[in-house]
Parts: sequence; structure tokens; C-alpha cells
Amino acid sequence: MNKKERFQAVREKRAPDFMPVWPRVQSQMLFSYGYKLPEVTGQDWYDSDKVTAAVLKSIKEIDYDVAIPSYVDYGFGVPPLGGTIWIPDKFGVAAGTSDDQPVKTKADWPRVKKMMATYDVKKKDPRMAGCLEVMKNISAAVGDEMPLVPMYYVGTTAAMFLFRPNEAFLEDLFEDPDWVKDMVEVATDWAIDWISAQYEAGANSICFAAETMGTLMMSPKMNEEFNLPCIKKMVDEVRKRHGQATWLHIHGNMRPPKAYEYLTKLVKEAGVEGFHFDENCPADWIKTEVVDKLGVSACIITDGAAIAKGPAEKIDEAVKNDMAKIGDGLGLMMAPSCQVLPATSNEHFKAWVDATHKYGKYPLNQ
Amino acid sequence: MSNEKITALAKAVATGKADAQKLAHEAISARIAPGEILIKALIPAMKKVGEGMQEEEYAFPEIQSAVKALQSVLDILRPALEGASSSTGIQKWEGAGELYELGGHLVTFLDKGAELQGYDLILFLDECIRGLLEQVALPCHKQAASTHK
Repeated sequence: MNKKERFQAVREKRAPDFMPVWPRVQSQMLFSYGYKLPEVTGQDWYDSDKVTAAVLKSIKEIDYDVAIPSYVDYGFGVPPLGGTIWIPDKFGVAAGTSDDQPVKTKADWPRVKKMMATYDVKKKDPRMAGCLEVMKNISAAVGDEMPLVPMYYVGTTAAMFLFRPNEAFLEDLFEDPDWVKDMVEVATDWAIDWISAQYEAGANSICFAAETMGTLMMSPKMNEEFNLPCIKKMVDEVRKRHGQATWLHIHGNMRPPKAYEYLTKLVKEAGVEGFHFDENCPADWIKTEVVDKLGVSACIITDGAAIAKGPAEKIDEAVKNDMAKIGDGLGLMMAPSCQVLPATSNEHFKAWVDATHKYGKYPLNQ
Repeated sequence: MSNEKITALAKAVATGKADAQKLAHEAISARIAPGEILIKALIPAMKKVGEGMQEEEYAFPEIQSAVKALQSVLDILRPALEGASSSTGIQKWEGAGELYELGGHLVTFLDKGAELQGYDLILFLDECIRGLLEQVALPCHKQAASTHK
């Protein structure tokens, strides 16, 4: 099987030759190439040649199965709205938003909302334009054999990353829910356009939407109110515009009754095809309660911190143990709890991918 | 009448309402003792928060708002009770875990305040806030730190 066929088997709950790996690798590939972030990107620039080289090297050397075909971070879109993103000059530390976000008070919102109405996601932010350039390059190089997925945030996470300082946004959720709904809708529409641009640049597989507040920071009830409609909208639009399904990366323990009820709604009402959880959801639970009961595919999780820490023998052992817990293993692939952490060495990253391919041979556990 | 004021204040704190401080002022004007406000309104209010966490109804935004309301009330009770602290140590918060587990810890912890009086109750609630917020914020810190390792 090639990588596309392997991932397709997971989506259809058939047996692949071995379990594929989805690493959601972001800045790790740049650090492992020897770059510090300020050598690759700034507030208003992005070096597509350097990023292309790093992505291709990462795919070739580590040999994982599903990739975001570029370097992405959650500062995309922010500088043109008036915010400042944080691009650390330190090895192993990821870029992100800062407290200098575009919407410091509610009085800033009309101006920013107006800018969002005409935001050209392909041109307005040079960092995003550079990212699309890399996607074209990667698609040309490996697009025939590998699932290349577009990725961005959705709902409350998208609104927080685009507009507001984190803590202020968490207060907004409770104190000004109508305003939050407005921000969340605007952010989700922007996110859908950004996902579309990534498809046009060469993404060729499912959409990976990320909602990292999940039940880690929000109650299931609040998630239903603020996030469920946005996730449904993204699922519907991606299917309508590109004929592709959507998987959701969500944080938090989904096992308690109300969290599980929310998870069920994400499948039945929003139409999510698959899930990438965090370390709060154990492998055996994912197999029985998500894949078998809800009928969708999912990722089992190795804690990203454990991959970063190593050593390779421990990573190998952890993967082997997880494989023993998942029965026939149909409908599952391997992922880190969030992303392959920026400071992870290629040695540990490769040990994790190799262990998954080694112990994840199908048929499993027979 | 005083029962109504106590109930309204407890509800305002438990649901993180901005008028909690105003209701506390009204209770003091109605000559309800600060100690009574602490025992009959604030501790039951925070128990409601704990129960809400156990039932998956309360997460970071709701807890943050309730604590903010609680702190606004403690701010106005503090001067009236300051200096009246006993020498016995205040129970330390030791609860840890996920939100619904922390809710159970919160309810149990608040039961330990039953024997306290006066300023000790303020110190006890300060410790409750400190411990609770530290634990509730852990996932946020962990998430932020996950990009910093």
C-alpha cells in the first residue's frame, strides 16, 4: 500500500498493511533542519524555499504517512489585523500569538470585523501566501503518493488565536456570549476560506480542523453552544467546496457522560468523520467507544512529551503496549497528543514512527 | 428578609454575576454579620461551583467568573474581620485532577471550613481560590507549555 491507500483503509475501517502515522508536525521540522524560527519567518515574511526544503526532508527522513504540506502556526492572519505575533529566537520554542492581539477591547471589534470582511487569505498575510507556495511545492513533489491535509483552527479556538488575548477571551465566553458568537462566526468563515486556499494550493485529502479548547477548558454545554455549529459549518463547506471529509483535533477528556454526549453530536449532527484526541483519552477507550460505537475513525495517542523525552527504547515500548490494547485496530491510526513537540529530536520522532509501523502490522493482535 | 439577601448573594457568586459585590454591600447594610455571609452565602456558593464541575456544567470560564465574584465579596468583608485570625493553621488545598475530579475536591475542601470563624474563614477561602485556580489553569498552562518544550 502507498500512504494514500493506507490512510484510506483507516477511513473505511479496513485493514491497512500497517498502521499509518499522523504526526501533526509543525515547527519541529524547522528546528530539526537546523533553523531557528527568525531565519524562516517574521511578522510579514516567510521563506518558502527554506520551508519547502525542511518539509521534504522531514517527510523523506521520518517517513510518516499523513502530512500538513507546509509549516503552519497559530499566528497566521494576525499581523495584518494589527496584532503582533511572537517568533522566538530560541531552539525548540514555537511561534504563536502574544497579548498584543488585534482586538484588545470590544471597541476594536468593529474595525477588525470590517477588515475580516474583505480579507484575502491568499494575499493579505505574506506568511500565509508563503505557506501556500510551499504547499504547491510539496504537492508537486509527493502529492501523488501521500495524503496532504489542510489544517486550521475552528470556532472558539480560531477566534481566540485571531483576535483576543487568551485569558480575556475566556472571560468573554462567560461575560459577553453574544459578542463571542459574533467573533466565532467571523473566525470560522475566515478559517473555511483559508482551508479552501490550502486545497487550491495542493492539499489532497481530508481537512484537519483543530479545536484545542475542547472539554479541557470549556464545558460540553458551552461547546455545544459555541463550537458545534461552527464545526458543522466547516464540515459542510469543505464537503460542498472540495468533496472532502473533516477530522477534528480536540483536547480534553471525552469520557465523562456529557463530554461523550458532545462527542456523539460532533459525529451525528456536525458530521465529523474522524478524531485526533489528546493524552486524556486512552487507546482502548478510543477503539471501543469511538471507533466501534460511534462508527468513525480516530487516532490513538502517544503523549508528545514522552516522544520528546525518549529514549527510543521507551518510545518503542509505549507504542507496543498501546497496540496490545486496541483489538483488531481497524479504523485507527497513530498521532501525538497534540503535535510532535518543537524540541523533539528526529531520532525520537523516527523511533515513534518506526515502532508504529513495526508493531502496527495487520492483522493486529491475532 | 436576611435569608433572601443571603440566597441572592450565594446565587450571584455561584453563577459569577457582576452584582455580587453590590448584593454583599446590601447584606452588610441590612446588618448581616460578615461571618454569616461567609458561612451561609460564600461557602455554599462555592459548593455549587464544585457540584457544577462534577456534573460537567462548569469549566474554566464559569469557574473563573465565580471566583472573580467571590473575590469581589471577600474584598469588602476583609477589613471588617482583619486581625481576628486564630493561630491554628489553615487547611492547605491538595486536590488535583481533571475538572470533574477537582469539583469533588472543592466540595470536600469546603466542608473543612465548618469549624472556622472570622478572618480564618477569609484565609481559608483565599487558599481555596489559590488551589482551585492553580489546578484549573493547569491544562491552559500545559497547552501553552506544549509549544515551549
